[in-house]
Amino acid sequence: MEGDLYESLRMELRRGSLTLGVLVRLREERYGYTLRQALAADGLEMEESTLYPLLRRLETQGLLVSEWREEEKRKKRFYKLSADGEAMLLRLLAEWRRISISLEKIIEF
Amino acid sequence: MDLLDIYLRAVGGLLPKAQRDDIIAELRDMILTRIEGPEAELGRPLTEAELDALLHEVGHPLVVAARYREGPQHLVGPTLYPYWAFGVKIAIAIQAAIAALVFVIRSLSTGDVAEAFGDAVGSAFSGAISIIGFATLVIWIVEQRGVKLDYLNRWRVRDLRVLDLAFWNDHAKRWRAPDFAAWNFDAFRGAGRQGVGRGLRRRRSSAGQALGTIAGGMVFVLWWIGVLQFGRVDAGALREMGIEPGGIATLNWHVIKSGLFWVLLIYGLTTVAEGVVRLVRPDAVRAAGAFTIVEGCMMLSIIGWLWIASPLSAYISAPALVDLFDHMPKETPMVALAPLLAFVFLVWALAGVIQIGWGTWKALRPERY
Repeated sequence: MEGDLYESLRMELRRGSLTLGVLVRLREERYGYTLRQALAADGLEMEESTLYPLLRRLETQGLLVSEWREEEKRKKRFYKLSADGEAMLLRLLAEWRRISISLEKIIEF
Repeated sequence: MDLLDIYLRAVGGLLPKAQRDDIIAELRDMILTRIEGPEAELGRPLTEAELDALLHEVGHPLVVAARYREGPQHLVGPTLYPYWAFGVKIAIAIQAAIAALVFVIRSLSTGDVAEAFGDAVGSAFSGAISIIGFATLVIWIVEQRGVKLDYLNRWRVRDLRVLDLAFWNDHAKRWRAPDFAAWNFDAFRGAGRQGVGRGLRRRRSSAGQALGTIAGGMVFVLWWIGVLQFGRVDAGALREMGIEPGGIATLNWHVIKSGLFWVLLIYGLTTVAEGVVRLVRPDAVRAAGAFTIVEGCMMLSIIGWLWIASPLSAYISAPALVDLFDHMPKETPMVALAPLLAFVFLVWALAGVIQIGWGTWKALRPERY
């Protein structure tokens, strides 16, 4: 029971962070598999079943651009941050830093 | 790769046509990439069972396709859920009240309590399911289309009496309390008339009264238009009840019904509308007064037509009610229908006059109500 509660609260805590992590990593062009590898190396594990729909959603929202390219004899979709995505990322990072500072103050008490 | 093609075909069938090819191409690349790792470790292609297990991990096609769907992934979202739940509760309460009323009337008119109970339970259940389905459909359309409901931002504290329904059960418990009678009389003994009246009215649930009005009005309207039927009452049935119909049994009731159809239908709908207004705006006393006046006028005009210009008038428009008792058969202790109807019409006419007076009082002095 406590384990389920922890997992549920942990998922809520991670949800927004994962989107931020994806946007940061896509300052550099990547395709799904390499993006997932990079996030895992950063400590942000994410299922492909969550990542790929997220990438499509961010692209629909105008934050990413993509193109299909053949690499190693297979067609892969490469994603990169758009201009709007870059602007959004800067705002979200500023908000993230504000939240971190506030939390640090609370934790110090 | 038959298994992979089967899987991707299943997912593709659930995707929007415009994006299907693009998403399936991406999914194929993702799954093939996922297969490469285990195949490199094993040094051989995956068996069908191993591939099946891997595709199992990717997810059921319904779930995978849903992740790519745009728009809310729910029928009723968290913002509108409290309103949906409350609306469904009120609608089901009205449905249950209607079913209970129909059960009572059918039981009394047909005498078959078991059948009436079975019909009531069946109609209450199917009605509740329909209400939940309809309400869910409406909210889903609102959510899908992103309709902004003005009420969510502009509700006023003064309008919150509509939530009295939540207290109806508390009031019902008080009515059943053993000390209710003493508690009620204390209310009369103590304060002045105005304070007592208001105190008593506060104890009754305005929402409960409004629901009763809506339910009663709906039952009447549905019976009048023929949707609900409670069994026919003919001359034989009346005689069994100790009522002698006399010449009234020979009347063409279709003529009377067609003469009254629209005015009684409007009367029933007006009653329902009054209930809705009292439910949504319990403090709209002037509006309630206006409804009461309209209902009183309609009642007087209905009784007036029945008494003066309908086929019934030959039987109930005698100079004095006393004369009508001469029509009673003297050999049997039966009550003649004609004077009984005349008495009922007089009572209704008086009720109509009282309604007009009461409605006028409410409209002119709402602060005293």
